[in-house]
Amino acid sequence: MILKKVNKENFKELFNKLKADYNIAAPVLMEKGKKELIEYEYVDDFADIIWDKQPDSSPKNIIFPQNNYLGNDFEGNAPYDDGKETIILGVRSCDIEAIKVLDQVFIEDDMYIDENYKKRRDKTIIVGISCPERQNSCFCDTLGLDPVESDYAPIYLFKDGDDFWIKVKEEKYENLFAELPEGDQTKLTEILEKRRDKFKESSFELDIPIPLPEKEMFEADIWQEMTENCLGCGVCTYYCPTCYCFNFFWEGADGESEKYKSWDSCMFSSYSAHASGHNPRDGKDKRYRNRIMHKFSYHPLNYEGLACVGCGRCIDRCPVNLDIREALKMTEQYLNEKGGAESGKD
Amino acid sequence: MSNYEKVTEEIQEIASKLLKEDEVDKIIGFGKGLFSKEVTPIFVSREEDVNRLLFSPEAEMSLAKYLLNYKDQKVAIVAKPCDSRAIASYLSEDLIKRENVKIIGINGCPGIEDNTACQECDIRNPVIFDYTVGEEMSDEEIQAEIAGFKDEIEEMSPKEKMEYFRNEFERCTRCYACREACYVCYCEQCFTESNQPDWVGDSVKLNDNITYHLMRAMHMAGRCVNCGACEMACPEGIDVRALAAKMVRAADEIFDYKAGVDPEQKTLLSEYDVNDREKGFMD
Amino acid sequence: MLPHKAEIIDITQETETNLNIKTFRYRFLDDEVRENFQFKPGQFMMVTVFGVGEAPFGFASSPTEEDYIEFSVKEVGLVTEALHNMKEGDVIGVRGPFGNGFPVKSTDGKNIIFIGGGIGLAPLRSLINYVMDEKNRDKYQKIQLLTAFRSPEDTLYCYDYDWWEEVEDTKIKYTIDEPCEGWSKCVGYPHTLIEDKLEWDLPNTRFFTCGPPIMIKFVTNRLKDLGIEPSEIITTLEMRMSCGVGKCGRCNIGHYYVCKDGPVFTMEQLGEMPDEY
Repeated sequence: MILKKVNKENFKELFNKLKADYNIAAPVLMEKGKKELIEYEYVDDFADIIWDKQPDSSPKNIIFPQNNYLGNDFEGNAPYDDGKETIILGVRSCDIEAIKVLDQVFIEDDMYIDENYKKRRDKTIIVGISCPERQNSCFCDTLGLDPVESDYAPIYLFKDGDDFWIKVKEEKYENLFAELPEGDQTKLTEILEKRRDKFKESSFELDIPIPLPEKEMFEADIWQEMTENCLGCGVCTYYCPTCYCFNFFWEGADGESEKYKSWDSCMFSSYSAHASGHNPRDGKDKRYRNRIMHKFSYHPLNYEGLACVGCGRCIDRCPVNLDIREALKMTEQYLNEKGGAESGKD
Repeated sequence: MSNYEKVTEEIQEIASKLLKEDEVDKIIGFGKGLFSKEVTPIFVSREEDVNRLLFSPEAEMSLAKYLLNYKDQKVAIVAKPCDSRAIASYLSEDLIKRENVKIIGINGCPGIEDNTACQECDIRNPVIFDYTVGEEMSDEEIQAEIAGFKDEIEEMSPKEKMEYFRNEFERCTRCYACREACYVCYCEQCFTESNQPDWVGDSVKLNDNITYHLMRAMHMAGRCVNCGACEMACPEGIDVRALAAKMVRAADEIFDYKAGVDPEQKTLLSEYDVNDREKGFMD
Repeated sequence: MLPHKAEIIDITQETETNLNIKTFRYRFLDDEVRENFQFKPGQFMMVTVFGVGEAPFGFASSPTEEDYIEFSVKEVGLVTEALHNMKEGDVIGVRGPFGNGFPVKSTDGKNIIFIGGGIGLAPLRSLINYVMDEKNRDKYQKIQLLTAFRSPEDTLYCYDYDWWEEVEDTKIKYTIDEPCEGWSKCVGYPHTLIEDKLEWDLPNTRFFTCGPPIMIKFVTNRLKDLGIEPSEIITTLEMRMSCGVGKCGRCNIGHYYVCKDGPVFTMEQLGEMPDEY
């Protein structure tokens, strides 16, 4: 583990040097019609990068693109760009934890590994960045995450004014930063202490058993009220950094068969609809229940940890501003009224 | 034009009265979220929650669509003039019962922030209501408000129009927020979900996106009330309203028809007049 | 995970008029795959119709059958319609085998009762043919089978009935929903016939059932009411699937994936799961 410290000018030089050998994606300001959003895009100019605001989208699209060409069934090839590696610069704790969730599902399974995802992920280097303060609607600390530092990223940045502290945790990347000046660990610790204090003040309090008790919550009567204003679109799932449900579709006829993998959303009514017409989740409230239960009950039962990282993207992007925090509070109240339910994991 | 704070007060008064006198089970209106402080549709059934109701420039959602979830219950609804047109349209299509809805119409609607539909809106008083809040706006005042409106897309050459729409629809992620927010789109199975025949592909390639938006605009002809809910719902800031708005203007010009102004009116494409000035595509 | 290519070598039209069900028999094109492909009764495969799509189908033939594999298809949508339009010699893709399969080993020494409704008989057939096979028959005691179809025109696997009835210590009962001219066998929904037509209370009996979701619910509830242990009532469920390996998220019942933790579940397991099927 090495710790370096550079000022903005020198970091810019480092960036320009890395640009030659790597594709670099970072948060930049995008003009989208009337909206101005901060999203992860491949960048060429260091000056475009936005450091101080939580990006409105996660870098999910870079490691798990919305439409992914898998190959031609007849030719049997699975194309992947064997070009340069990609560095995703400036990923916050919430998004890093989300990448961990995707990794759990797609490449850490003992039975089936998603080769396509693995190839792309092996060529991606995550460079995390510490959050200076709470932004927008985030509540990652309520769910047990540390916004100030995350262990899962191999390289981690701490920005303080115009100073960039670079913590390199994995040996294989140390040579990229070898020539930079050393950073003083004690000074950094001071800065981070102050940051942690800032987060303590404004926390969203929540006390629910993790995983949520499966059958009990399924049969609870709170879901209708919770989803009264839900439209049933797919925005929350598309902008959620951990949502990974996908579908295949084919194109081509008469001897061609090109297979694609694309994002799907559990909020669409056709998600679980059988061809016979039977739909086990035939109401908005049932589908929302499945979404919450998957994040707070099913995923922790099948893997480790929650599938929600408290980033707040679903709250900010939702057309009706439906708040997952309200949903969690209702869940907490329901369980408390039933007299302190036991956790579902035994 | 009405004032947001005054309208808020009046809405709360009426809502309180309706709940006290047990006239409705629920009131559908706008309110701030409990944690996020953003405006969201709220469903008030207890008197102590009445003071959450408000009206502000951020009240961008169209509430009319929620009435379809409460067809057999007595509800009250806070309706901007465009929402009141949506409700009139539902009544003309026999989707809801008049006696089950108490409409709190907002007179002289001051508009919604960033909603381009408000810039050309010429119906600023509710077309159907049980109660009103705010001050009515006269025709002269309304015309003065929209005098400066110019349809920029109309001025473009066909090539520029294609460029413009290509740029917009390239960003579309097919989240279907526009469809779900729109009061017209209440089909149980949308054409996008059909795979026999597969009208629109599932990919987010440009041609599939354009197909989806074009087909949706075709379904909106004669039914869109130009409320802008689609545009406000889009997370990518796409000008989703443009195609349907063109349909609205065409219906007005060619057939002198506005959707949702009268609960008794017939829908545009469900009847014809032999004297209709037909603008054929060969002209 | 690319699909193995397979050639359809035989198509049997099972039903006429109302429900269009065909049984497909295929053989892998690649010799190595043909040699090494192993599956257990109750597992399923994802069949690819190139250029159209994929759908999950349970194996309808027993693994003891070495020359071919069969599956039955009811025409309900895009992929199944495309399959129905295929001819002998056409090539399909097969991914699999997926799923947990029936608990065959622990069924040794038991009496077995199969209750199949409509197309639900297809996945059961992989186990029926397995236990009825002369190599395996003496591992099990009495075998009974109750098949339920809407009408005589909707019956499946008529060509199997003769040899099933010939197998030692085996009893087959057939029922249709409504009385019909020319039908001399049972009439009525299967859950109403268990007590009268089957020897259901022999000790050490295991029940396997499959059919439309509503039939599974009625039959399994009836069996529970009769006092059968939930761990001895076994069913196989279906769900809309995309990947078949527990990744795409859609086939879950609670935290179980029907493709990975199922499709075979005991009533004991289903009792602990949310009622979402």
